[in-house]
Amino acid sequence: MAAQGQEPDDVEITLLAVLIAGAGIFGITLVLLPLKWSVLLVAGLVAFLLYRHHIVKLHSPSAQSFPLSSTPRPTSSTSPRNALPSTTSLPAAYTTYILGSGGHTTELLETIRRSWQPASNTHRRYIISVNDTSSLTRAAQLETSFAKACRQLGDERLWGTTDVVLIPRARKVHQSFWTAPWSCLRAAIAAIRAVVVPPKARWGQAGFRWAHVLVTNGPANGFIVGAVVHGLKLLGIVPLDRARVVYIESWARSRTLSLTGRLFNLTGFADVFIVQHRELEGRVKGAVYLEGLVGKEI
Amino acid sequence: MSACNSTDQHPALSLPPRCCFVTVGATAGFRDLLDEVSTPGFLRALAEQGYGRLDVQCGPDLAHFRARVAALADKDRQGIEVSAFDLVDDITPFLVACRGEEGVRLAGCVISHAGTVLEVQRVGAPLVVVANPTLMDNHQLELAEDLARRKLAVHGRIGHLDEALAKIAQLVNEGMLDRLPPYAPPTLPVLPENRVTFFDWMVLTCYPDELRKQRHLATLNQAAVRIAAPKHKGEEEDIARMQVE
Repeated sequence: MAAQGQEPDDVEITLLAVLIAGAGIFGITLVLLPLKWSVLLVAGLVAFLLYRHHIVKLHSPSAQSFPLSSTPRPTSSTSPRNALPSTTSLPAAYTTYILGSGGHTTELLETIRRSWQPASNTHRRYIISVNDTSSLTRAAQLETSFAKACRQLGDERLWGTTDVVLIPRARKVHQSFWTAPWSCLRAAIAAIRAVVVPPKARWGQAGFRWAHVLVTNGPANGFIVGAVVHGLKLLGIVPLDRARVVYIESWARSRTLSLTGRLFNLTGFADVFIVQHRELEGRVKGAVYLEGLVGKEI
Repeated sequence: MSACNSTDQHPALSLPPRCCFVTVGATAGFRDLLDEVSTPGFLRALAEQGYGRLDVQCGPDLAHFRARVAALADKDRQGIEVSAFDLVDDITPFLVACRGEEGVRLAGCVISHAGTVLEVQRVGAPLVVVANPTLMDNHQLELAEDLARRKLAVHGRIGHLDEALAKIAQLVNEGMLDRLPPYAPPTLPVLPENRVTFFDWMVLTCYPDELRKQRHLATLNQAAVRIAAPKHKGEEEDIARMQVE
C-alpha cells in the first residue's frame, strides 16, 4: 500500500495557488468590468453550472436501473447458474472507499467484506484521514485477510490491487468556526488528487483511469470527496459515465439523518442514497432501503 | 424471574455459570454505566439470574472502576468474579463467552453502549444497549428504542439494569439462546447467496451494454425461479410486466 499526502506537497500547493489565483483574477475582472458586463459574466457562469448540473443528473443512474439485492436474494438451491451481477469479466472494477473514524469505519469495512469477491480486475482505494491510524490499521487488516483468502484459493492475482490515499481532516472535533473553511479547502485540494490520480499499480491500464464507484457512509471527508467529484463532473474533467457516488447512511441512524446525510440529500451529490432502516426510507426523499450491509447476517 | 435460572434446568450438564460482558467503548468513556454495574444491587441481580462472571472493558475509567470494586464488601459481591481492563484489540472472545452454545455454555449477556451493537449481533450474544445520555447527539437513544421494539436487543436504562437482566432471561428462554450451534467466524469470501452485490451493479452502470445484458439475464432468472414456485398472488403479473420490458 502506498500512502501519500501527509503534508501539503508541491502539487497541492500548486493546485491551491491556481485556485486562489483563478478566484483573484475572476474577482478583479468583475471589479474592473462595467457593472452590466459583470452581471452578465456571473449570470453566464451560473447558467453554465446549472446546465452542467442538469446534464450530470441526467447521466446519473437511478437505483431502479438494476434489480436491488434487497429484493429476495437467490438461495443456494436456486442459483446453480453463474451468479449475477458479474463484474469479473469487465476490463476493470475500481472502487474508492472513504473511511471515517470509529463506528463509520467499522460499518464500511464490514460492508466491504460482505461485498468482496476474489477478482484480479479489481482495484480498491481507501481514502483515510491523516492521523486516523485506527482506520488505516483496520483497512490493512481487511486487505491482509483478502490476500490470505486468495492464497488459499491458489491464485494471488485474484486479490487485485489496492492503495491508500491520506487526506487532511475537513474539520477536527472542536475546531473553531473560523478556521473550518481553510481546513475544508485543504481537504478538498487533497481530495482532488485522490480522485484524479489513477492507481500507480494500474498505471496505463485500460479502465483504471477513473474510479467506477465511490462509497462513503458519513464522515465529513466523505462529503468533501463527493462535492469534489461533482465539481469535476460539472467541469467535464471526470467523465459522466464514471465515478458513481454512493452514500450509505450509517446503520446507527434509524430515524434521523446525520449532518453528512442531510448535506448529500440537499445537494444531490450522491447518485444513490442508501438508508438501512425502513422508517428512514419513508422520511428521506429518493432514499433506497438496503438491508444486510452490516449487522446480523440474514 | 429467578425461575429462569437455567442451571436448574440442566442439572446433568453442570455447565459453568453465565457470563456478563460490559463494554463502554474506547474514547468517550461511560462512567454512569461503570458505576451502575459495580453496585451491590446489580451484582445481586446477576447472581439471581445465574451469572458467575463479570468482565468489564472500562476505557479511560479503569482505575475508577477498580477502586469501586475493591471497596465492595465480600457479601456484596455475591460470589461474582469481576475482572476489568481498559482496552483489547479484539473483543470477540468476550462476546463468544456470552453466546449460549448447546452443551458448552449458557447464554449470558453483553451490556454495551450503542457503538458495539453490530459486533455483538454478528456473534449472536444477547444484548442490552445503554444509550450514553452524556453524548450530545441522541440518535443512540433512538437506535436503542428501535432495536428493543424489534426485539434485537434490550434497551437498558441507567438505574434499572436489573430489569434489563430479567428481560434478557426472558429473551433467552423464548429464543432457546442457551442451545445455539457453535459460533462460526465469518468466512472469506462470503457465501454467494449472502454477498452484497449492490456495488457490482453500480460498477456495471459504467458499462451500459453489459448492464443491459445482465439486467435482462437477471430478470429472466427471477422469472424462472418464480414460475417454478409462485408464492404470492400478483407475481404472475410481475412476470408478465417484466417480459414486456
